[in-house]
Amino acid sequence: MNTADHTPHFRRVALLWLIATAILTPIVIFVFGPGLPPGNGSAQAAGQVTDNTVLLALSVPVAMAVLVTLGYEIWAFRERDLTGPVLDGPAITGNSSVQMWWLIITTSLVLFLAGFGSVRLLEDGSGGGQGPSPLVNPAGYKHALQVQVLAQQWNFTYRYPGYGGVETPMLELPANTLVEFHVTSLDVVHSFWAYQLGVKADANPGVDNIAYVNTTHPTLINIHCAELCGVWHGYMFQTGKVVSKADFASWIQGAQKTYAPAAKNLTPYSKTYFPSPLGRGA
Amino acid sequence: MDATHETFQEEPREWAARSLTAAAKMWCGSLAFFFAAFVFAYFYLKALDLNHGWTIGKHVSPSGGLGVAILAAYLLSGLLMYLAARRPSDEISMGVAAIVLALLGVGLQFLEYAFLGFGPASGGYASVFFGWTATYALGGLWGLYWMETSVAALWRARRNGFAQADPGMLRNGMMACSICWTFFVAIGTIMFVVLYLV
Amino acid sequence: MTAVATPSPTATPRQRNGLIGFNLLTGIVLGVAGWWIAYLLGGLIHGASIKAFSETGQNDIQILLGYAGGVLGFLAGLGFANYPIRRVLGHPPEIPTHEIDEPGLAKYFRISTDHKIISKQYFVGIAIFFFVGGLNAMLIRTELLSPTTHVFGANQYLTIVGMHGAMMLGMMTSGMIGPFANYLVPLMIGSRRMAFPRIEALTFWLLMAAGVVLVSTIFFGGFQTGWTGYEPLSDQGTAGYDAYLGFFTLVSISMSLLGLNLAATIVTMRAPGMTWSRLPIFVWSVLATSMLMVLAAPMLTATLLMGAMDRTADTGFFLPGVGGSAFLWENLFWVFGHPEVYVLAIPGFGIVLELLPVFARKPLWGYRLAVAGMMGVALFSFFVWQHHLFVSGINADLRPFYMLSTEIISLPTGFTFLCVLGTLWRGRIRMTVPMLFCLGWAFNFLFGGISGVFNSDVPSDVTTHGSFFVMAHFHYTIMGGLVFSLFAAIYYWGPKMTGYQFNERLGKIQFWAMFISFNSTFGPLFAVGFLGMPRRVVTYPSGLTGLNVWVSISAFVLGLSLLFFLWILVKAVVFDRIPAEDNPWHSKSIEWQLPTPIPAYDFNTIPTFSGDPYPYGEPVPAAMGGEMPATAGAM
Ligand SMILES: [Cu+2]
Ligand SMILES: [Cu+2]
Repeated sequence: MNTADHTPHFRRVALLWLIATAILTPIVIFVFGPGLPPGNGSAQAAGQVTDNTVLLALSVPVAMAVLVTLGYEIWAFRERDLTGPVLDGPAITGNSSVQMWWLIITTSLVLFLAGFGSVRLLEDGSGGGQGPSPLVNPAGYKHALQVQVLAQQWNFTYRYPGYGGVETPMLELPANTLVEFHVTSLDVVHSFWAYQLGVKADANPGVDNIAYVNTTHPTLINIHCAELCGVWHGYMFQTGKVVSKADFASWIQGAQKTYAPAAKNLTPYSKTYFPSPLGRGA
Repeated sequence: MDATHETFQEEPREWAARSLTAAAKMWCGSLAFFFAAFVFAYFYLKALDLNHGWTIGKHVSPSGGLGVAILAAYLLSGLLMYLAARRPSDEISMGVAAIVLALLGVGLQFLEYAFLGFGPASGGYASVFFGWTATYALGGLWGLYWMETSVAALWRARRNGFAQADPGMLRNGMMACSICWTFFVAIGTIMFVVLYLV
Repeated sequence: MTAVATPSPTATPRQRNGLIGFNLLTGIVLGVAGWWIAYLLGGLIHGASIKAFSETGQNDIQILLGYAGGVLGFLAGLGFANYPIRRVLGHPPEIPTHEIDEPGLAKYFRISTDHKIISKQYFVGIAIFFFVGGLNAMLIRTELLSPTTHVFGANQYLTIVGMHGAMMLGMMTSGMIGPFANYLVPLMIGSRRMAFPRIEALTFWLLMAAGVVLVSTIFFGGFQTGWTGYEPLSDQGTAGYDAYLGFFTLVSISMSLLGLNLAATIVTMRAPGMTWSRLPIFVWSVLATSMLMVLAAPMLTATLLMGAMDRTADTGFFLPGVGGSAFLWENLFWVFGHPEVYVLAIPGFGIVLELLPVFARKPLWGYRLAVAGMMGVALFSFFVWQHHLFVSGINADLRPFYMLSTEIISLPTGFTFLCVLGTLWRGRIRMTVPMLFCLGWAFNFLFGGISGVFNSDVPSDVTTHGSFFVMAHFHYTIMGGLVFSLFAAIYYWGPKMTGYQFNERLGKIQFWAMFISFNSTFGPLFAVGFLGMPRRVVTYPSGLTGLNVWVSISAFVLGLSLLFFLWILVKAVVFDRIPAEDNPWHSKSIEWQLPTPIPAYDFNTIPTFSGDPYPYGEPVPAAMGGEMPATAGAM
């Protein structure tokens, strides 16, 4: 096209963008949205699904703005005859109103995203590790079920301070309960990832990392270590359970009996442990 | 384009001088970030004090006397280098004095290790103390090399009556060196305040 | 006579043609000798005197001293000690003269101070280690063909993962600016040389030494920490981890010196008329990158020294039982680590924006916006590091701040995209191979950026952190971004650098093979991460087998497409040898106005620059364009 070209390129791109966005956004929200991780195993997990859906829905118009424009440019402004003389396009060096609108739109998007993420985070902690003194304490946290997650090379064990500090080799939780995880490590850095609960918290030696989760219904939980912790890191996984409150009560009673002999030799319950030496070769 | 001697245009004279000065200033930025890691480590570990490990044992604090002596040697060395770069009349004698004092500072540092009364295994403070002072002494050795080359070039050039050397160029080298060295000494002062006084 | 001997083409090249003399061979001989001398000296240190040794039965001082001695011997053998010794003896400073173009390959196997030769050394040297890193990736994907271990043991597997990561993130920091900034900056700003040509050479040989040190880890039991080397796991590491420490220490020194050299050159040695507003956008990107390297890399050096002291001198920086903290490493490492990823990304922005005007036949759209974008990214990258630590328990109260600062980085990154779209708008786009790679960059980096938003959003990151989602995200930005733009640069400047034409048709085939297999490799990995597969694991739930097999096969095709490029290069340079035209792309930038190959001294006279940096395009009639009025100079 020469410089006298009056094709309404900009309007065409805008229209194409509108069509693509109008088609894809509902698909993303209603078709992909419900399938997004990590499912509805807990209130926090369901919250993360909402976040993922919002982010995915917002990324459609952004991605389409770039892709549609790029695709249109390649289609419309492409030099089809590369053997002829090399001709130049118009010497446009910028457009202040386009630049201004781009800045305004992307800035508002970014501010919205940061605000949205912060509000979501502050609602219920989102299941992430919050360190020893959590910023976000969900309602009723003083009566939460406390579970200490002990990570060590290469396994997780669990202590229930409300039940005599009994230590069990597997995780069971009651449904419809606020759980307060205290994640810590006895050696190197691990990360406690309970997928269906939407919980991830690093296990650091000497640090009590607290994460809250509101369990909902009985479910199985895939537990993985999510931080490289040495040779057998890839084998550091387990299956845990959320069960009904009655089942949990009988399970924990049984566990207290079963592990009573071992409990005698345990160090007293503490927020952190410093097995010695925690230096080289530990 | 044929590279023949007749048409070859030499580069502007000031490029070499300006780029050395600019690099010296940027190098100060590198030094600042390098030692910032130790400043951060100091305050971070002190605030955390995991397992009450900031100090392990009874006498984990260095005696002030040697610390003051080391600092004094570096400060004086920095001052002399600063003056040497700016006073062409006695640049060599001052430069030599700056080198001797820097050498003294590094030497005293190693002397201090021998009489410290605690070892690197004595907790967080001891770790930062040894890490910081040892890397600082290494930096001091690098500074010694740079000062020595600058002063030696001036000395040799003066002996030859500046027959093969441009005094302006050599003084620019002294100036660049003094920028970095005084900055380095300033970091040493911060180190003294943090490790001995805070 | 002057103290600083300005380079002159009549200077006699030093006679260094034999095998004996300062070259790679003597470097290797002295390097091996230096290793053994230092290693034996280190063996004299008594194990009992240092607690760490008696606990582990392992003398790390010996290994680390060996590496130091080996590297010093290697550098001395190459001839890097000659000049410092002369300076100590009081000889005046001198700027090295370029070798006059001598035929043969010998000049590539010793110190050269010609920026064009160094850039080719960089290109080949980094390609070798990129091949090693790529091979590691292939091995990783081979292991992940099945959900249980079948090829490698767990230890071997983690060593391969760690070597892949360290090789790619350590060596590839210089992957773009090593070959291309060294080559182009002195041409584009008209300086004919870098400010410190000997240091320029040193950065290259240091990097080569680093690569060898990293590979040597296989003789010492490998390392299990990944490229991030988290403590206190690293402290448990066998002697193989000392290779990691040595590698990154050398890389960080090389990086800071390279950055220092480039920044000093750009700031002080611009030819007359090369004002800041005429600086080619690629040079701007190099300047932004250099600033990051000068400031961030020393922090890594210090951190690694702390780690080394924990292993050798009984300090406890990172050992929680004795007053240290694992958090200290995580903080210090990422304060360096996040700027580091932009060290990888920003030169790619520069390449793409540099090439688009040539192939769209238009000026760069929004020059100042592009500059502001790259500088903004560089600046902000120092304030986001804790987004790697959202669930770690560090400063959890600051998470909203780091969420905001991380998302703010997408604003200056977005500028680059706007400039890409604007430059193409109404252009006369010529679909050459470099152009295809630029468009591939735009596509891949878009998805890299968008997926980054999921990682920056704390609630979403709780699931994606530490999973394959993150891994897919940064491969989209680095492999899809940096490597695609790197290929654009290779196809674009390759003919100038080598003097030979590359086959256009084969290049297009290579692009499509690489583009499709890249997306087919890393696209599904977003899903793999979403479905709950952690990074760096040697086993995975059997339900994920299908996706993993798909990814592995795509990865092998990706590997083949890269080997195919090697064939294109060899075919062009060794077999076909069709001389390249002086300016096949009809570019208007200065390096294309020079003859191919470029003479040893670039220009006889220092050029004087005037006018626009991108003088493409026909003048725009005032009446034209209702929807996109041209406002030249308005940003
Ligand atoms: Cu683990
Ligand atoms: Cu980051």
